[in-house]
Amino acid sequence: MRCTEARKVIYLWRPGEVPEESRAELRRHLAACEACAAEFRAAEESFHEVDSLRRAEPLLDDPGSLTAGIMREVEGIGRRERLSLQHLPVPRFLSSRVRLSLRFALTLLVGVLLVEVSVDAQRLVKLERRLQTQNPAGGALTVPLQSGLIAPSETLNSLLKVAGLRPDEARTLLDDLRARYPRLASITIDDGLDARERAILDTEGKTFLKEFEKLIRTGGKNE
Amino acid sequence: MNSEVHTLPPSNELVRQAARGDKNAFRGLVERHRQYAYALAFRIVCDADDARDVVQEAFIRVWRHAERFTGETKFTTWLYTIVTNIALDMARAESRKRRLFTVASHLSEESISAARSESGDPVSNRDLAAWIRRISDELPPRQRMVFVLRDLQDLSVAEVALILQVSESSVKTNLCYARRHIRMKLEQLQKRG
Repeated sequence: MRCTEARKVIYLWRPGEVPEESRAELRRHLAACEACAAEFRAAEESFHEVDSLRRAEPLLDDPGSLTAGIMREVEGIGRRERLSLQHLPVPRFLSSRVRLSLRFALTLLVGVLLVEVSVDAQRLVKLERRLQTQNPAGGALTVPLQSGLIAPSETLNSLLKVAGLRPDEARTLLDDLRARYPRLASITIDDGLDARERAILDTEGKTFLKEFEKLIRTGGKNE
Repeated sequence: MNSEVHTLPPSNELVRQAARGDKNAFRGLVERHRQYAYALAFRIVCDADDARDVVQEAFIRVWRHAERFTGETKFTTWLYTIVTNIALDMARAESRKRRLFTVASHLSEESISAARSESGDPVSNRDLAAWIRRISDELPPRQRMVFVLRDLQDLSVAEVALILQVSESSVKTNLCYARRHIRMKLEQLQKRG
């Protein structure tokens, strides 16, 4: 075995990566070549380090809430699919022309509702732009936005990180905000917003956003 | 872990049931594979919140496209391909803003094994992310992915090749380069420490 081949086999050290004959050849080569043997010793140390890194498995915090979030999204997908034009519920005894008109009217109604939701999203975009100009780190903020006046916790969390908070600090702060605004926290964006929820957003939501903006400016500290 | 997870049918059967709209089967899949999917996502994006987002998005794609799963490969290979693709997209986007926004790690220049043996506690996710970044961030994307999938996630060379859609010999070549780079990086860190 030549040195170039040996230097390759040295790094394919885990089971199944090279045939046993190649390993045997490498052993013979190392016994005769001090330079490759030195590289092998150095490589062995790094293998142990990587082994430690592999054993230290990152653990998922609060797996139940992740599953719940996924299942909520999946439920939402089902609902959105049912909202397509062909599936809109119209009585079968009506003539086809009337059924078509009725479907059109219902679609228009759904469209108007969607526009309202997107207006809320626009307000959130504006808020985010304001926060962007005020945040001490500066630069572009590419947090994905979702519809609704109150951003989902992931967005808030990201914004808090921008303000220089550690993830655990941001999480604690958000938990605290959620505890102090329980009515807001109870609103689920996935289900759309009813009149009661809109009223909460118009009152408690505005107070919350003001407080949140202040937190961003002060890096998470209450003034 | 939920003990019911162990009594569920094999994953391939659960995907078939999920493709027919069975949400309980889908939940079983999520509960069975979320931790491992999270570990993979975390090792690519090196951020706990982002890794959660990746896993959530990946399972939603599984739900949407369950009928496309043919069963020719293991379900895990299919899931990890989805996780890898989403995580890679996110990591690319993150790499542009990381310099501005990432909170500096408090981990000193000590080895991961030393950190474990001194405290006796498992390494925190944060320290783990800092270490993975430190030794692998300078690798070209293909080498980094091969290193993460093979050396950290412990997948076979054949599985890595399937997930990245390259040949097994390409996986091995990239592994060689990646491991050599990591050895040199670790030596540098030791000298500095």
